[in-house]
Amino acid sequence: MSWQDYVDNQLLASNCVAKACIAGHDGNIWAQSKGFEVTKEELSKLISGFDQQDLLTSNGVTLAGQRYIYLSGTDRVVRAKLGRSGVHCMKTTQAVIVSIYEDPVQPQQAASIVEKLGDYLITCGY
Amino acid sequence: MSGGTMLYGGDEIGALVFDPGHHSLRVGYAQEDSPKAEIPSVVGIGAHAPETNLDPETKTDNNVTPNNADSRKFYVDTNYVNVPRSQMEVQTYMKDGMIDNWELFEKVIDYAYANVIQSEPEYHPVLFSEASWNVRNNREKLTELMFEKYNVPAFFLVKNAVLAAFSSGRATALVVDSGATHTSAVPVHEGYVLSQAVVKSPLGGDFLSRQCRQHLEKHGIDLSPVYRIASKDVVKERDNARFTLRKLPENLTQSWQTYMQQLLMQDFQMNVLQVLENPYDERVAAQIPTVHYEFPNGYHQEFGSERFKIAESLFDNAMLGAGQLASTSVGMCDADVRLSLFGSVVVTGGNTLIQGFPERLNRDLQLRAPSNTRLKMISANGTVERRFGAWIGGSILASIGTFQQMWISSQEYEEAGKSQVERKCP
Repeated sequence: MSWQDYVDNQLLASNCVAKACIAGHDGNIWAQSKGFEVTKEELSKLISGFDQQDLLTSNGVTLAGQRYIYLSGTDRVVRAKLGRSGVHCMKTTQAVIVSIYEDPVQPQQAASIVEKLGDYLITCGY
Repeated sequence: MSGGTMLYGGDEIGALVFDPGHHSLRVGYAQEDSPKAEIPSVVGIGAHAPETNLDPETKTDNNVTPNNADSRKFYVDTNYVNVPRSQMEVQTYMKDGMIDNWELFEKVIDYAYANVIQSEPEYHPVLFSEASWNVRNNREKLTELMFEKYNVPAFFLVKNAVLAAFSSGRATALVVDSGATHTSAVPVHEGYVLSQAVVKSPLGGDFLSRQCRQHLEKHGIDLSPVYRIASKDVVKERDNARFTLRKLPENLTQSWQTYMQQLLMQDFQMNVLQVLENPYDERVAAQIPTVHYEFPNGYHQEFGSERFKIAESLFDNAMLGAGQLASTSVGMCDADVRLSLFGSVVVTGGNTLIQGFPERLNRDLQLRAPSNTRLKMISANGTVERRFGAWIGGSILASIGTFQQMWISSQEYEEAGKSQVERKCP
């Protein structure tokens, strides 16, 4: 399965994720959904935020030019929100899955989808 | 509201809402406007029962042999704990805002189902509130307990700050919660806690009770709770009390006596303490009318400026004062949300019922907020709404249609395990 397949057929197809992208720990984009203009710089900032949450608490999470308010997170997960839409990201062994959900999807639904895929990738070594 | 995909659509949801706190566990049905019961967060533990379990009628599980721990008697709820009993220790199961002693906690839940809900756990979805700083271990343990032991059909965990905000009709708010053991400032954005900006202090109702006791003992006032009084005489103000001691069982434990004294202190602080709108000033305090209080042993007097002095300790601490907590918390948040947080400050928790608390908090926050900030405080007027804010929020949340798809069902639990709670209840 190609990385684009993962984005389209696993994440977007669930109807719980509006936009998504999978990237490496260095910020290099492996696959992204159509119309999701996230840049490598934004991803690098996000990825360094997994280990240093302070970077995200004051500046929020910016993806595709849109700034989201950081909610909470661990060294594996980052959650952010803006109004009714939000961001749920999960870090795997070699990659980062970034997802955007929008109204009326609830954060938990996007979280389930993203984390299931993330756990699966971890078992594959990615 | 109905839909084929929903587990429990329609009006008959029958969900239960549990709100554990240091002072009490609030429990009741969703859709109601107040909990059915408020069970004090302590359990009385009686001495070991005598070893006479040899009759065949004794119920035993197939695999479990009765051991010493099972033969201890547990006393739950006011009617059983407040009775003077020989060798009954009183212990709380809460610590630092979280459930700590699971054995005692299970006893209380058993009691709640048997005496308050009076129904089998497997028929009702359960919504639990938790501290905004709850740890992963505790959350998973609670999830496991509810699904494995009680076989609930569905379960959900919500931070109590979020529920308090909901009960005031807001999804974004700065929740200032002053309870028995803590005062905390928790910013909530769109229904989710900004966990990096949670600030708490140990100055709560219990702290005030200790201050009251110190003050009263210093003035030589005898603090005998009601259970010790057999009869008392009417005395003039500030005269020594004259009362006869009741005949009590032997071996009343120190923990129980301390607990009963604490209840007396809570009554005193509820009725007497007040907070000035401006920082404590001896002259201003002396001008305000005094409050009369009579102790169980018959001693009575008027209380004046000391009522303000004791309550002042909640606000005058440079780092832990309530106003300081709130402004620190907002300062730790994303700059974009700060305005909306100042515009909805929700005041909740039993300790905030002290006369003058919201007004003083308003003044302290106004001083610390950037100038021209529009500050709006929301504090419910009724005692029920303030004390049970989180429970009421849970009752509201569990009843709305869009929430019904968010429960963790027992099926999901079986498939994904207890870590599902981390995903579904952020």
